[in-house]
Amino acid sequence: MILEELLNKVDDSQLLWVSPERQITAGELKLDIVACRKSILRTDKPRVALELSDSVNALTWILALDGFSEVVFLVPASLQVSEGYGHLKQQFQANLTVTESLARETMASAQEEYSDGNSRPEVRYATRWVLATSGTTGTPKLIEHSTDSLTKTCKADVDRGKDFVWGLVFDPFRFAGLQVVLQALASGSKLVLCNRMESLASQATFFRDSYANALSATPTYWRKLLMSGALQGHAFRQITLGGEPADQSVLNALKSAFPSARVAHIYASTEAGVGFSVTDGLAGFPKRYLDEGVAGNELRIGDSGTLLVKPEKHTPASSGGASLANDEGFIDTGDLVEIRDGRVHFLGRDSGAINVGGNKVIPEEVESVIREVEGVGEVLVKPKGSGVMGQLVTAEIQPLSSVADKAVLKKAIIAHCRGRLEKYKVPALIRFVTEIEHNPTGKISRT
Amino acid sequence: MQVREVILELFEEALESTESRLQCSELKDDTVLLDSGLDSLGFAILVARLEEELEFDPFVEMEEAVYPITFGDFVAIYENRVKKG
Repeated sequence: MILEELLNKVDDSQLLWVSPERQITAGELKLDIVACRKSILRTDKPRVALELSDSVNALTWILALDGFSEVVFLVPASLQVSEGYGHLKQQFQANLTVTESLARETMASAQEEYSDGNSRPEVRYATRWVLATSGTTGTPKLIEHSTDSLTKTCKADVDRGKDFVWGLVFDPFRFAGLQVVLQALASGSKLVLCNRMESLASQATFFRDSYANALSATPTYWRKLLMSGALQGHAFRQITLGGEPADQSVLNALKSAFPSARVAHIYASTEAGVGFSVTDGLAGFPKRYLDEGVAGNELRIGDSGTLLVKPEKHTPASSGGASLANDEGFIDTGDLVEIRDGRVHFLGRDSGAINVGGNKVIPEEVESVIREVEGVGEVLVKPKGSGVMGQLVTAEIQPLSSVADKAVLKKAIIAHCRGRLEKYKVPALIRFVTEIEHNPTGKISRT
Repeated sequence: MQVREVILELFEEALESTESRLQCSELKDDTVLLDSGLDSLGFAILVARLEEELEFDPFVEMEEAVYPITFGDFVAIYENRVKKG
């Protein structure tokens, strides 16, 4: 099956995607797909880099490309402007790059339907999809999926789906966002695209005015929504949390603020393909999943304390073909877990990466910036749990003995970090210590 | 120093450390926190700094989670915790 066939489940007149700029019905979408495909068919064995910023365009191209290109690299907006993108694109070896200007030209060409004289081209490829993860070292990794592996957990009940209107606040070219898009498509639900809007207030207003009733967002986003008072009393049917571990407080608060909603938190890793959702309202997941498996996935805790997942089928691979799995088919998610009160709880990343409201911070990057400040001897950057952002960045500093005034040094460190790092990477708290511990191999102990 | 004063002082500091400014003339009890100029990162920093000063984080201790909407709600959460001891 290719993704375009999902459109046959609904009437051509049904409104499918709504963004602040435009809206599109299933029928209009089918016409646009014909137009996109013309330019795809001109390329031999298309390896496509999708560099689109308009959400409706981006999603249209995804549908047009499935079955008609070998492999597609979904380039998130934030990655397009980042330093490392040139290198990644080279590694990917695209022979067709779809930019906004190409998309505009394509759509402007005459719209035609497939008819007897203009028959639907045969499906040519089992298209593979390349998604970028934020990576353990800060350099994005490219992970390949098949259409089947991306849609395997999507519920395809159109009868139930028609009652849901999904809002999208994630980037649709990231794993979490793509899941929302595909879920809405598979069940014939309307999708409200809030993801390009800047403020939470405007997203919430657009969401409400479009009669949306289902939303998937990070716990940090949900806390912010609760604190803003926007959407108070809104009749949510579905509330989904993903992208960061959900704590008990936010789950309780959502349940009491939106009693009509089903609240689910999702555990997923791009490396392992889709994971599973937990709907019992409790943080973490039941320990019995380790024995019984969940949603077709087998779970296990590895020797180093991280969660290992063996996907049911369709194991994703790193782009280029290397398998990510061990001999038994388990993939290391890099997420440290512990068992507490019959539940498996998430502790953080084994790489020490800090998750500030869904943004990944690599401690070593912050440490090297802090070391540039005169007077700093040794430095250790660690996460600190936060009820608001999930985690915050903190720094322990061992000053050189020549430092007379620590307050001055602290100011200098913060000023230097602000100039060099994104806001969420600047340490929220700085503590001075007499010595930073090293483990027997001479590395700084991060735990 | 009263809890409210500590909060006001660290609120200023959190604004400064996120390079933001107060978006209203002064903080009143009915000021909506996220309209005050402090974003959620700044707010998280404020809670973390208050924990350093007061040695508790009421949001971690709470059994029934409450997310404050106004500045008054926020101060009340800390004042109630201090009363409880």
